[in-house]
Amino acid sequence: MNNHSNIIRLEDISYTYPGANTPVLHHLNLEINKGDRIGMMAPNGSGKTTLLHTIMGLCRPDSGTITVFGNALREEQDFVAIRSRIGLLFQDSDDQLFCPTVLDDVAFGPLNLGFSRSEALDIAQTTLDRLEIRKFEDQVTHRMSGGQKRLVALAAVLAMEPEVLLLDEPTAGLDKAVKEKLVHILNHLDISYFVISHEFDFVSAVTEKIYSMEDGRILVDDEIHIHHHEHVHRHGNHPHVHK
Amino acid sequence: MIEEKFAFGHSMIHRLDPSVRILCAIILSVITALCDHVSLVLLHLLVSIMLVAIARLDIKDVLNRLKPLLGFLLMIWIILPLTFDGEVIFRFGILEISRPGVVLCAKITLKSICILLLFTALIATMSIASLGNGLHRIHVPDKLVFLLLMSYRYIAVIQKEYQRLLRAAKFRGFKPGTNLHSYKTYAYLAGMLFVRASLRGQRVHQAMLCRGFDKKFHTLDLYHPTILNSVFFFGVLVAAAALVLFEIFWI
Repeated sequence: MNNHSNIIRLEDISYTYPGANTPVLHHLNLEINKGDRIGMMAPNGSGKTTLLHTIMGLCRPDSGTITVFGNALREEQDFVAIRSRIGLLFQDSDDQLFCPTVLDDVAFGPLNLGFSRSEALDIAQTTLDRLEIRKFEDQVTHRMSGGQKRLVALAAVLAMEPEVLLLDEPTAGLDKAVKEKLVHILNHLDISYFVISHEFDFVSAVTEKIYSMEDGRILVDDEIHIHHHEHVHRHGNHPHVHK
Repeated sequence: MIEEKFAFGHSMIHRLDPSVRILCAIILSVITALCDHVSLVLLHLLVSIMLVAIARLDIKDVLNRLKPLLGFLLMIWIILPLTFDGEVIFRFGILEISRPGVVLCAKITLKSICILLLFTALIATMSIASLGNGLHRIHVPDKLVFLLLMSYRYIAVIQKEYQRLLRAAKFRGFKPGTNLHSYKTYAYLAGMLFVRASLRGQRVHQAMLCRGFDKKFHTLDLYHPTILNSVFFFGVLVAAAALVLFEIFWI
């Protein structure tokens, strides 16, 4: 049952928010394998963010098993061990950048992982170089633009050298230039990732398959893929509102 | 918003280790606060003016910083001399100005200006990040250091959220006035702000957990002990001891 290329495997996960009537995750199954580049498009409130938080152990499911890198995760301690190997990019960069300066923030993860000051500094600067944002290193994070903040948050996640990335609407609120930069960065990463987004163009540019979510379950049907595709092309040249 | 106007200079004080500066500021301000003679407070004031001069701060900016304090002091000058018991030095009809009242006012004025100048010269000359670092190294609990750094980081975010809420209210025709509706609206805004800040706090904590946060304060800054630090610290200690001994034995 345990495939070696399995990085993340969710089986029969159910979760209901305290006080809610319907479960947000309902007997959900998901597998992310090595080399996978998966996109996820689903309506607001369908449980996408909850799904990512479940993988990271930020929200504990009512039932089901979470297996990451072959280990079943149950207690907080189990999750602590894998959090450094999975990078989660939050929806709001302001949540993720809590240190005074850019360099402090990118080095925060490596320092927690036990690297020395000079090693952490080195990792942080190399990561910033990789994303071509080294010039921001001494800037105060809360004075940066939304696009700059998103790239710094991504650098902060990548500095932990994760083996898989989970991205929660990475393009929300960004302009075209930053989006293109993100596409470029993601396409040149050699790790697996799972991207949640509402933008078909972006998702199709950086992933190989697109999933959706409905009634707390993941739909991996190929038809969904085609449906989204047709929809976008039919209205592509005219301004219109999705959902 | 917090502007760190004095934080980035090139004076000798700017080059000092933050922890040394924090310790010096604490020592000097405590002995100033406990000093009991107006003439001696003048000496303290001299020390703090010297420090401001060494830090090479713009005098106009420094005076601007004193403004809110001066407003507060003005209030004391209006009230205290008239209400304090003791020897009367002036009399305008039924109003009597007492000598102890004036002396007390002078002391409060000099001491508060002196302490504010001390902090401007020693503490305001470092960034909040360095301040956090310095506090950590003089063994202030990590929780308090995080509290300071997080407040600094998120105060602007919360302010932006407040402005967004207020703008949304104004776009829907809200005009603040002295009436129950306005008070209620502001109460809603405040409540909403608390809810959002608390949710934000949860998300930030989650983000910290995701990056291996272990409740310890790590920092990139590295300060090597230099002669400058030791000399400055020693100088401040000698000056402080001299001022204290002078007060105890000669006055």
